[in-house]
Amino acid sequence: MAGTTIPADDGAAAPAKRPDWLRRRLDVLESSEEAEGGIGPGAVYVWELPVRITHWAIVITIVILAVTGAYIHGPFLVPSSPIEASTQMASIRFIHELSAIVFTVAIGLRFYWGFVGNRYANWRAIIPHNRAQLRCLAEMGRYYVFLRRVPVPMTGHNLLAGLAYTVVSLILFFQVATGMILFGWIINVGPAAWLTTIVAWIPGNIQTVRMLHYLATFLFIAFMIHHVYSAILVDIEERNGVMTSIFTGFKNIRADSTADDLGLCNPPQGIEPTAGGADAPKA
Amino acid sequence: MVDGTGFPGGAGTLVEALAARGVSRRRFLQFCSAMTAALALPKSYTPRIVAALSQQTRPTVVWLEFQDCAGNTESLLRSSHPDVAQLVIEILSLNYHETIMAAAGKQAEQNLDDVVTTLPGQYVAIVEGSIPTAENGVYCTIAGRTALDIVNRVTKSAAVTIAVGDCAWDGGFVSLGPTQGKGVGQVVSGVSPINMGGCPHNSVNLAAVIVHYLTFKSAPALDQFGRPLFAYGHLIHDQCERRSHFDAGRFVEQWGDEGARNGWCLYKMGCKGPATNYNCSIARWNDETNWPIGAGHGCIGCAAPAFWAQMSPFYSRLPNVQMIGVDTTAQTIGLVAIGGVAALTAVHGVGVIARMQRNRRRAKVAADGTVVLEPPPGPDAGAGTPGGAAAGGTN
Repeated sequence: MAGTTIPADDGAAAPAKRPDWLRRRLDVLESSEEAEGGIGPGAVYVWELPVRITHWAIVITIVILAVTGAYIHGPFLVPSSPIEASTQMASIRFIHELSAIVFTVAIGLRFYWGFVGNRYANWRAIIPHNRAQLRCLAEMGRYYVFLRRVPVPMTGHNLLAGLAYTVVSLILFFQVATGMILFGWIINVGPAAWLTTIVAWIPGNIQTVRMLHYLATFLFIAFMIHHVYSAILVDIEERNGVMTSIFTGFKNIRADSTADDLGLCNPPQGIEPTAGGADAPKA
Repeated sequence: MVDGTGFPGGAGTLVEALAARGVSRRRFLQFCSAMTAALALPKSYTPRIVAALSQQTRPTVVWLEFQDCAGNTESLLRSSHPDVAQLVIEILSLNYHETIMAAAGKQAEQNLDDVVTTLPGQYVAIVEGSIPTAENGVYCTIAGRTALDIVNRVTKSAAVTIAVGDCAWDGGFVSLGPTQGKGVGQVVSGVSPINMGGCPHNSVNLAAVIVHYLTFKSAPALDQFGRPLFAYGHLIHDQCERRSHFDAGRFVEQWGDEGARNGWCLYKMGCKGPATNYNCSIARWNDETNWPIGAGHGCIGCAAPAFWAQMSPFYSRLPNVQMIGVDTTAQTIGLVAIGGVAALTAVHGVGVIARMQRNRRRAKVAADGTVVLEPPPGPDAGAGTPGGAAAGGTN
């Protein structure tokens, strides 16, 4: 839809940023999925495959990282025999580091997808940055404190969730950064030695990095409790299949009945534009 | 800087002085080998060190001591490679050292003045202890001069300045007190001392720095804190004799338990080996007899910057979190956060269920077969807001 003649700063050029090979690959994946999905009429393809893959990769690695990290913080397992050769701590650290690499790659891919993904995955739909979005955010806040009867209907993320994901993303980046510093502290050769140099500028030195890395893990666990609860809650309240959508990618929802697709929350313009989204914003 | 002939100093060359003291050449070569090893140089450097030291006249050294506990002097006196007689009397011409010099009073201060005025740029200045800076440094004065004044005068015309111990490096423990003690590098502008952190410093490393200077006429490679990399380039954790127990997952759980008796890893007892760079496990202490972890006590990170503040509590893995008047741990904060979110979620869930029950009671079947709610008693919050129209449609 976007040709080379369109200037780069035009929002309509955004989908063209996907490399051709990637677009072709996705077209195949998406069409096959749509063909065999058995999705009812009016279903909207919301979460593209990379969004779902990175979501579950992050979920699985966070669980592995939290459990192995808890062991590394305070080893709670007993080796089978004190006489036998054992690599318990070494193995668990290896699993932790391997998972951290997968975790980092998944976050990097999702970050990239925030620029090339569909309108629901785009950063403009997630990070609240204009007045209409802030109104939607406030409405969602009123829903959570029982001042509003139903959630703001959204095809993609609601803006309160978007704000939460923005904050969580910052913590994710923070966790990757502190983890890399701790890793560089162990390696301490080549480019990793540069990470050790950073440590000298941190008040409290490496111990502060360790403490913050540990503390942030608890924030993820707290977030997961809230996240799963909210997903179940919205699934029950809206009956739009949000819980299954993170597996299938489809929501049983009519795009012409939601606030974001109607332009009420100022959806990102020019990205897969729909008829309803053309006249936004109204603020 | 030093000219090609080395440091001028006491009479005769080093080997002559050693021979006069009855130190054999074999003993001298042993010392040179030990220094090669301490500097992490290849074995082939030993002859070069031997040659350099053999031609060397004894370097003049002044040892300044300020706000401290004399622990670094004690560490020096307990050195055996070389033993104190060799290091102090033979290898160095120690012209000024408050604790061990024979001179006293005006004569002692005269010795210091003589070195500074007659040998500018040709002597080694070693500083022990922090320099108080509060109220122009009046909290430490020697012969009527403040420590601040003395350290500025002596180190600025020294060939090389070595700060031994944490106090002379970054103020150490006393920097937390009311005298605002600071390290040499922090109070003397234009002088970059070689910092030998540690509480106390290890005299093997001090001897190695001096030997490096005498042999190569330059300071050894330093890290960003000005510490020699040969001594502060590797984690204690990576050079620890108990490391295999760490990798195996065998830990001391409490003092005196089976693990402690078997010499297992002290990680869970708050050992700061994974956070500290030092060659403590290799150079060791008390005639290379032992070192803290070898003796069954975790590392307290004494060679790390500002360790009194950063490495405490010494018996827990992580530092505490100090917020407005509260001293707590990261784990407590984390568990409170999880508990808070879980409690809020549970309360919200109860609220949602209650609302569903109420809606169920108020639901009526309209004439066309659709389910509608009776209007609630209060104003409907959903009306006239973004998504309001759509919300009405879905309900």
